[in-house]
Amino acid sequence: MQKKIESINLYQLKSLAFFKFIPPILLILGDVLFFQKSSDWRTFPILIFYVFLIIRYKLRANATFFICLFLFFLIYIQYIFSSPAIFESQYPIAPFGEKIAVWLYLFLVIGVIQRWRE
Amino acid sequence: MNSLKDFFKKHKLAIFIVIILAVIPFFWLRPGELELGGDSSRLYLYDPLSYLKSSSIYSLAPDGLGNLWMNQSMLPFLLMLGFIYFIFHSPYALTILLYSLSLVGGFLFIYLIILEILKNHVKEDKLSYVHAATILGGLFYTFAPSVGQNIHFALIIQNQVFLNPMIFYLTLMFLKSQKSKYLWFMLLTTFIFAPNFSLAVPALFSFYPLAFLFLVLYVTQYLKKSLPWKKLLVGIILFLGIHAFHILPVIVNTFDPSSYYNTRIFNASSIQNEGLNYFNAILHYAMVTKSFFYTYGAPYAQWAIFVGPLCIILGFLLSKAKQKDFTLIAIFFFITTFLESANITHIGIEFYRKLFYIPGFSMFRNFYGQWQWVQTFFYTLLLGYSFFLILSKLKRKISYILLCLIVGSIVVSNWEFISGQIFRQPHRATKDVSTIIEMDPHFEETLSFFRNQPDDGKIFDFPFTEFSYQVIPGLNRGAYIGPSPTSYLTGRRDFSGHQILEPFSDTFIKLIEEKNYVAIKRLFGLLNIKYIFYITDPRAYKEFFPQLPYSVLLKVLPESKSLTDFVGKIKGEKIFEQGSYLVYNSDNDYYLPHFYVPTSIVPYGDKNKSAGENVSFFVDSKEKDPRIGYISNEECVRFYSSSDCRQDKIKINNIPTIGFKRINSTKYKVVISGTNTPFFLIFSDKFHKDWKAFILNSESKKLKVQESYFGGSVQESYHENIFLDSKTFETLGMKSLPESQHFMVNGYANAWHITPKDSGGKNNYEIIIEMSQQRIAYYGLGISAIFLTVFLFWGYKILMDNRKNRPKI
Repeated sequence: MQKKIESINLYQLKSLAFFKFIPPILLILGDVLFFQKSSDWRTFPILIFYVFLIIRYKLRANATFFICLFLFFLIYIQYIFSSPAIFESQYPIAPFGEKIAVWLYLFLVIGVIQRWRE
Repeated sequence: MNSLKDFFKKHKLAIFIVIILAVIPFFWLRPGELELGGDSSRLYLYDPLSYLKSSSIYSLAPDGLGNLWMNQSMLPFLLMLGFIYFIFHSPYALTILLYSLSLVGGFLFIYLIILEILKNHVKEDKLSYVHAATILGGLFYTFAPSVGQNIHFALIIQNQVFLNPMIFYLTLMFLKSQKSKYLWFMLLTTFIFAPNFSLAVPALFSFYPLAFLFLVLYVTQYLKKSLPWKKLLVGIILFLGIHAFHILPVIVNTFDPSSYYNTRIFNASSIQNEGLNYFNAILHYAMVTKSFFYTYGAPYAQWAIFVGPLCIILGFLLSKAKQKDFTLIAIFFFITTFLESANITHIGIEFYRKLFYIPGFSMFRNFYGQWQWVQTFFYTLLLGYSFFLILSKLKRKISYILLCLIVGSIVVSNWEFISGQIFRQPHRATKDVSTIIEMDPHFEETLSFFRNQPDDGKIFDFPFTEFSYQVIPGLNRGAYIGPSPTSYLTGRRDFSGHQILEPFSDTFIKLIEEKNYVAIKRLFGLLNIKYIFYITDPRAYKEFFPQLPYSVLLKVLPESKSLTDFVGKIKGEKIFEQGSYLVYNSDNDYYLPHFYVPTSIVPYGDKNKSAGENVSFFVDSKEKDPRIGYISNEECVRFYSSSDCRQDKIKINNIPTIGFKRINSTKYKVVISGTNTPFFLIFSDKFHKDWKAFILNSESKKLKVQESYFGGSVQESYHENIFLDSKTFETLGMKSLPESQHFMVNGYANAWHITPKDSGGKNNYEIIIEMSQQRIAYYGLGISAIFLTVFLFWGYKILMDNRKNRPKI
């Protein structure tokens, strides 16, 4: 019985860990979907918020790499369902996938720094 | 013998792939087909030794007015190509061999590098995973867009496709083993492929500093080995020594305040205008997506591009903190991705812009083009490592299935390159004119004709392009478009395009529009144009090229017929015809030989100074004798009174008789006779302060005359092309005419004001006209020859030592 309770708690904890990723992912999606142009005034606060989550919840590098995997799928989906021509230039506005790619780059950097420290 | 067997057994799959890669380029082009055009062209594959003679041994551009240029770095490479050409005698074979070398070299050295990095992580029984990952890495690199997309219209630096991994591998092995043989082979490679190690080439600075930094960190921090400092120092000294023949001229030129390099590197407004503004203009074309997803843009292969980025992210997920080498590769991947894409946050862009204020960084203004090879290299290392991390988690059978699937996706996504379709693209804005050409034998005969002409006159090409290009139609529906083969393959200067004709290009077009044929003939005379080369084939003009590269000429001569009519108005007598290739003399009444003494001086002011200088001073001239020296009013008052300079012309009497002979394109001998008054000597090559005139003390000897002009007052001798002989340094230590007597004439040419005092009162004497920058090239060659000898002896010693140390059986 005790074991069962422990396993449920562990499961709940893991579910909670998953929820920790939702705010940064929503913020990233909000940034790329609702704003035509990227801004450092949004990018860096979101990154700082994510770094805060890493420190606060002691997130491992793999957590960051899972976010990267999610971002990769978003880019890939847009890539295969759109004309290659839209990825030729950022003019007049950068495609959705390009903005995600910048986020992917930044999260990979964060993940590697985390891995280095681990 | 057994070790060789073991090697083949271990690497059999890699060897099989190497053979396939060597064969693939034979399917790209059919025998007789060539792909030579583009910005820097590959005319050296067509005729390496002619290209070498015209463009690489002298410090002057082979075309146009003869700008100063430094192309000595091509020498060893062209000699090697010349040797291969001597064996096969086929530009086709040479082209295919170079393509094969790129593919095989790129694959092989990436394979070896990844193997060298990964074998630290596994035991013998798991080496098959490493081999699988290295093969995938090698294939990914070999077929990557930075390799394939640039092979079409390839620049000379395209050789970096295999040179970057090759030098990286040899350096890695040298730093790991500290064996001199690796250093020696590395230096030998840099010497043969010296164009990639020229200081004027951004590729040198984009790859090697980062690669060496990576290797130093890898060896010292990861492998915990010390660096062989003494051997490294020897290597650096030898490198500088054997490369002195091209490094020295570039360095001297860079520190010359009037040079183009100096302006590009140190001039703040040039950094802003030609560097930063260019960067800003192309910034929106750079995409981070392109740095992650490698694609040739073929719609059928869009789905297959996921392999690279997905495997890298999975690699990150599977990596362990202790795998510090993986993290190190990742850091270099991030640095190069940032440099290639530039568009990572606004702070990142601002930081990038600041980098342009580092002297020389503006060479990376076309940042995507310059960093793509480096990014691909580190991307591949990271990917190869990731493949290994993924495959080693799987059972052997599953890993082999995955290996096949990944190879399949690499082949599909890069099929456009592998199949050679990338070459079968039409020229931009043309009517499906292929970039692949089957050379017309008539054109080859025309080149021979030009080579055999004994005089020194220049050529004007029609149709006249808007860049510095020439268009040569092929036997097929293809055309060569690139730097002029007429000059690069004959050693004879020509004017093939708008840029080459600067500063007279706009005036020339205006004169065509105004139908001022006399003024055009006068211009041709001033430019020393003796031949008009006209390709009458309509496929060389509007029929195939409704826009580029004739947008400018088509505005004034919109049809092939109007072009033919125009040429008919300015030509002289026809002297050559083969197929659609015609050569005419220019109008003899206006022709001015390479050297002449003006009979009148026409001062000119600021009239028509819309573009910053007056370049239409010759248009309204009524003088019948074309021997005129047009000099600006500012120059005129240095030699004549202000009232003289206000006249329409100043007549010069008692001019001497001159004879001239070319020793080589940087040195001429002029024999002056019958002079006792001051005169001007005009030399129709682009003005440069380093053209020097030396009056010889020795008795003047009569030159053998091959052609006389103006009743014998200008005599042209038989020309030579002597690169080195006992008289090469005859002017060393001699005093040249002072720079105050050297000035610009006719809007571009050199002139010297020579007085009886300069010749010590002699009436007959010789003058040597010499481009003094060529001396630097000679010094560089001398230094390189000495170091090369030392280097070869060192190689011999290494070989002997290796033989001694080899265990006896």
